[in-house]
Amino acid sequence: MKQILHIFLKDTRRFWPEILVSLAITAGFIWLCPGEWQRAGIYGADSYSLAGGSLMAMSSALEVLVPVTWWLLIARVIQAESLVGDRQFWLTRPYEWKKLLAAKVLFVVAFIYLPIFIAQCLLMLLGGFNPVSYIPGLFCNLLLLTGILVLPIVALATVTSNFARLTLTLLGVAPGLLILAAISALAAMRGSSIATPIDSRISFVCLFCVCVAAIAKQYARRDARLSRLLLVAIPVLFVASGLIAPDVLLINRTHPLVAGQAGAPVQLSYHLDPRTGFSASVGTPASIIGIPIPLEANTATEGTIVVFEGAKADIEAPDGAHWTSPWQRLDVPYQVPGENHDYLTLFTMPRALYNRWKGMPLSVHVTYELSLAKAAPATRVAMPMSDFAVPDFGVCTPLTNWMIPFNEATGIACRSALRQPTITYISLVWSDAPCNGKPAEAGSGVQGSGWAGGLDRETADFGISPVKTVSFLLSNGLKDQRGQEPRYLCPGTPITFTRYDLIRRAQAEVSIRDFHLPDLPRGQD
Amino acid sequence: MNPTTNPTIRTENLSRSFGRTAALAQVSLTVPEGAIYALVGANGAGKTTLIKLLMNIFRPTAGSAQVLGIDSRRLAGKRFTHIGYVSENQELPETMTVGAMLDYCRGFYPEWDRSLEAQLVRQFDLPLGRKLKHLSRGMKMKAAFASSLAYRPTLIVLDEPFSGLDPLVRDELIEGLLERAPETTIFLSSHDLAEIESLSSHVGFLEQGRLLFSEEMPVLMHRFRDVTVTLDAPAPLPANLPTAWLQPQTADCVVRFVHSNYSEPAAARELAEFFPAARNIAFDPLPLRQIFLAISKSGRARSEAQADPHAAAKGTAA
Repeated sequence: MKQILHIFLKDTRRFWPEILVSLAITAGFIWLCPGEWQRAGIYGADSYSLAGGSLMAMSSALEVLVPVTWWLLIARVIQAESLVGDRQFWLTRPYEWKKLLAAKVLFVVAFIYLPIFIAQCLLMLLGGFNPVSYIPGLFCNLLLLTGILVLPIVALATVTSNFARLTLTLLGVAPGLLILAAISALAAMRGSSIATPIDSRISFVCLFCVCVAAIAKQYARRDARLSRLLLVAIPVLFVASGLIAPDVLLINRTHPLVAGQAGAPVQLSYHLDPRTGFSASVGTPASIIGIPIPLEANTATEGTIVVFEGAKADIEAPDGAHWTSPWQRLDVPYQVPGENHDYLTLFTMPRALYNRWKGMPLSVHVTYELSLAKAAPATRVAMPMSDFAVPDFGVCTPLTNWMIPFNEATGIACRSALRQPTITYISLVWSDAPCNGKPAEAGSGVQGSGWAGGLDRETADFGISPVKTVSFLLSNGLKDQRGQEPRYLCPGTPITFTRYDLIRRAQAEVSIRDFHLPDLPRGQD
Repeated sequence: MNPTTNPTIRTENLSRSFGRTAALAQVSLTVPEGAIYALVGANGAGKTTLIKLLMNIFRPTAGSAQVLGIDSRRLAGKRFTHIGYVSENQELPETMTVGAMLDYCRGFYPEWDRSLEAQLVRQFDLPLGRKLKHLSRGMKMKAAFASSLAYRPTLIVLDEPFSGLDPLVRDELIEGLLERAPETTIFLSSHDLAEIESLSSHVGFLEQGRLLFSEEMPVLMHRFRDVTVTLDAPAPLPANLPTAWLQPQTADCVVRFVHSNYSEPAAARELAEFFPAARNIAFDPLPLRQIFLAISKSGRARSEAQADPHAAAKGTAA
């Protein structure tokens, strides 16, 4: 312990200017970040003003600068006892590698983790959340920051001899990451891979473990070549896993296929309304064609919504030719239970195949990866003209606008703690006229609604700020199509928040005989 | 303690390659306790590589080394509390002041002697308040010496410590070193042969990664002789001269060479055999510098002859 403290104190004395800069930027972030939520409430008034816009830009810049100062601090402190080279003063001194590593960890904890933890607690308090209630989430967020930001920077700092080399390495890594992102995007576009809840955890664990192994190896052996190889293995592993895509195994595990329609949690049937014609669409790239499949979904449990996450199509032509698609990601709007059972799903197929099979009666079998979520008891809030908390959702603020009379709300802006809320259906009644501080007349007004949140059940999302802006769009918020005239939310207007909790993940199938591939819109075929 | 049974340093077939280049090949040497062992050799001979292998900065490709009875590959942490290491190209913590560096180093050594530290600071005239990056090379070396001697190490390893220093600084460093000599073993590499000759008890000679010899200084000095043979009349060099005769040259009636394996009766017999008409034969002791040059030059000539035998033959004829 004595040696750990000895090295720690030396680093603290040596790097106090860098520490001060980092703390100042973190303090600036705490100061400016809440302005973003407060300004969300007076969106039009502030964000377009020079001062408001500048403050928002500064807040965003500081959110980027905080990890940049970490990069600087980590690089400086790790490379104070550089692990690359054979001329360093400390190599022949009685340093014990475990204690040296512990001293560096202590430095990172003291000047990166502790400040950001305090900053996050303060931001939560300022955002209207009690940090004590979110301790596991805060630690989960620190874990994510560790795995995604801190450990990779530490690992790179251990295999580079100085700050310049580390910077050059990062600049070299950036194009590599862009290429990786491009490959992943291409793979996603071609429908070769969809994410499962397990995927991201596996990637995170891989990244975490490889970085820890590289750092430990480098401290124990100072074999930069081996550690660099380990680090190079990470992107190679990710690209390989993206291309090989063991999705089927993962999806079968997370979304089990229920044999037989009777026991299935949801009954899907192909439902083509002859009055509504669906046409195929040209995808990106143009060599793929999107084929719509309208469905009717009936769940076994009342008050349940169906969340379509992925699809895999299997097509058989009359001549016996077969084509099976990989798992493809789906983005299908949710439907309010009891109101509508119709969903429009889509899968993509190669254009060459589309052209060959167009006009033929095909046998199509589509397997869907879906989740079922059941409504929890609704929370009803009488619209106040200040911040209001919604249990299990977040904190909302009436949305005002500089173009409308003072003390009128044209919507709500909401924020949640550490992650996006669980899928929530928000419904309210709009008033066509300004409220003048009075409640709306009973029975008047226009219904508005929207969906917010997602099914992701992680304790925290990755990010420097622990307060997340919840994005949603409420229907009928504008009186006309051109978006000139807003509708209003009067004080006391009931706003209903209905949370949908995940009850089951499953696969469901639909078989369609004599399916004809729909035509492309004119001019696109 | 018997130095042969428990040497401070012992290497066995120690080898290190960098890619396809063999920097050190099968070096076996022993440094007895209490010795001042000087490792000499031309640039690129492998001296620094050998020292870095001993200090576990490099790992051997083959063979092994024991330092203070420990496998060099396990030399780390507390083991270094008994070893002082100073190298000409060591990267010091430049942003620290001399005083801060000494304070910092002190924390690592339970045996740190503050009075010795104060004495070394006085002796080397070290400016405690100045940053290392603002010091001259000589001053930096003195600071490095002070930080490596103040804990009274059992073994002091020095890699070209006097290289590029002015004579005054050299003298100060050697003086500081010799004061520690009775209580320690010193292993140093150096080009400064005059200094080495005056302070070393043992010497090893590395050439192109191979250890040509490793022995006590008096034995070495006795083994090498500058031999001058005066003949009655000019005569060409006889063929098949002994390999122990280095750099044989002839000019007029005089033949000169360096005998690398001199012992009085045997040398006289050999010379009588090759030069029966010799008028006079003189055996003069050689300084270490001359020995070093003779070995280096003859080694280089041998290498050239192996690389291009035809050209070498022409050169000899000329």
